[in-house]
Amino acid sequence: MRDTFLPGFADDVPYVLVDVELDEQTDLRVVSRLLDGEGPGLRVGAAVRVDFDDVATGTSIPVFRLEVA
Amino acid sequence: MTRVAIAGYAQSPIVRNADTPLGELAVQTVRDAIADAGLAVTQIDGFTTGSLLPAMGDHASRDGVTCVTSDWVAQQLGVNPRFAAGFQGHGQLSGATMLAVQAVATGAADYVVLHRALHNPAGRYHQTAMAYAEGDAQWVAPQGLWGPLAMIALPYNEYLQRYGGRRETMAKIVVEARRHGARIPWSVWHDRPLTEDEYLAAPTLADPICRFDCDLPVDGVAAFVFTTEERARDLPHPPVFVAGYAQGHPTVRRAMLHWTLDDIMGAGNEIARRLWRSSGLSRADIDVPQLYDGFAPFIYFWLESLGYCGLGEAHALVDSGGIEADAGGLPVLTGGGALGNGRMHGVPQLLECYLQLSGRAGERQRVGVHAGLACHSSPHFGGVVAYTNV
Repeated sequence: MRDTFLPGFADDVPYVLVDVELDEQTDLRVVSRLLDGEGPGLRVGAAVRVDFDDVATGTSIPVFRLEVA
Repeated sequence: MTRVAIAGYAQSPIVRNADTPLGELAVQTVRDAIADAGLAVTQIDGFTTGSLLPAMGDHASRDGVTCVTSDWVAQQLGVNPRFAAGFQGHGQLSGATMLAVQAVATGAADYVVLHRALHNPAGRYHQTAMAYAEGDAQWVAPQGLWGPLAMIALPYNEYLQRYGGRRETMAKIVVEARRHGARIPWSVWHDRPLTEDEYLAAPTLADPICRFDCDLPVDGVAAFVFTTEERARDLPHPPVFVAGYAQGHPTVRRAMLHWTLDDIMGAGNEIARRLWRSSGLSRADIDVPQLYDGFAPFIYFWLESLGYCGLGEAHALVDSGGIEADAGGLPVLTGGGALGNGRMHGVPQLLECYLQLSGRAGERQRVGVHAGLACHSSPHFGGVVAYTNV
């Protein structure tokens, strides 16, 4: 994303959105940001690991990082 | 079963911001359509529309100002109709068309006006100042997913990684839409075609989507009059018949704005199966397959859903000039589509079917045209209506 319609994301642009299927349940998906940005490991099917972005006191947003093999 | 026909139409100029309030433009356009069909306002006893959108930004919705419902039009015309209904889903124009057809076929109304009024609000179309996300938005907005650019970029990236396709290929779609849109007097892009170089020079907004992949928000209204075949044959213009229609909906529940390629194509394949069955037509019968292109990648999805090529092959079809109508390719964007007219939410597809099949396309008239398809929205929440003139 090189542009955003949301408040609070101006400093994050550009950012990468990923559609993640959870290991715990087939087709249970979460869309969020991938913190690694663009890179050679970014492709459909790549494994990721959840992390949490503490955006405010008591508020954490799930985000993802590419799983290092 | 009673065959239902379109007997007349009107299309307002499509502009960035109309001088006329949207409600007034809608009433005038509906009056023009009724007159075009050779009817009087007092004969109209049914009204239908899809009035949704703009719905995602912070714009307040006001009937007659930012949107125009069927009830509002009927009131302004001083009609107390037997039938007034709006389709609320996203596949609005196909849904609204189905309502019109059902009303006529069942005798709920004799003459139904379908209108569509689109408004370009002040400010950015999808901008929000939300400080707190609740309801469906809580699952996407805090994570950075908002607006249709991200919505279409996700499945389009799935497509590119699975099947391939180049930005130069997508340029061919947009250039084709704008080539035909430039020939259409009421289009916001009249006399303004786009070159491939201009497309490729545009910065991406949600990779690889650029602004030319998105239809331009506009003010504009179109209206069509539906009635029975028998009544239509007594009216001035050659009738165009609704031959069938189809919708398809994914059964998987997703968060708002979250589309997957498989959801889209699953619904698209089901739509095609239902369409051929309901219309009795086959792909070979279709002379003007007008595909929906509110975002350019939809052309890939519709080409593949309707079987104009195999799954994953639309980019190759487009790349080889397969939809370049002037050069003998499939006439999928000869009505200019959304990219070549402005954000009229499926009107250009319906209008091109009507004009070509009624022989009213003027300088753009194609010869030997007997059947058409109007695709509306994305396959997974849109639909297709098939039309014939025989």
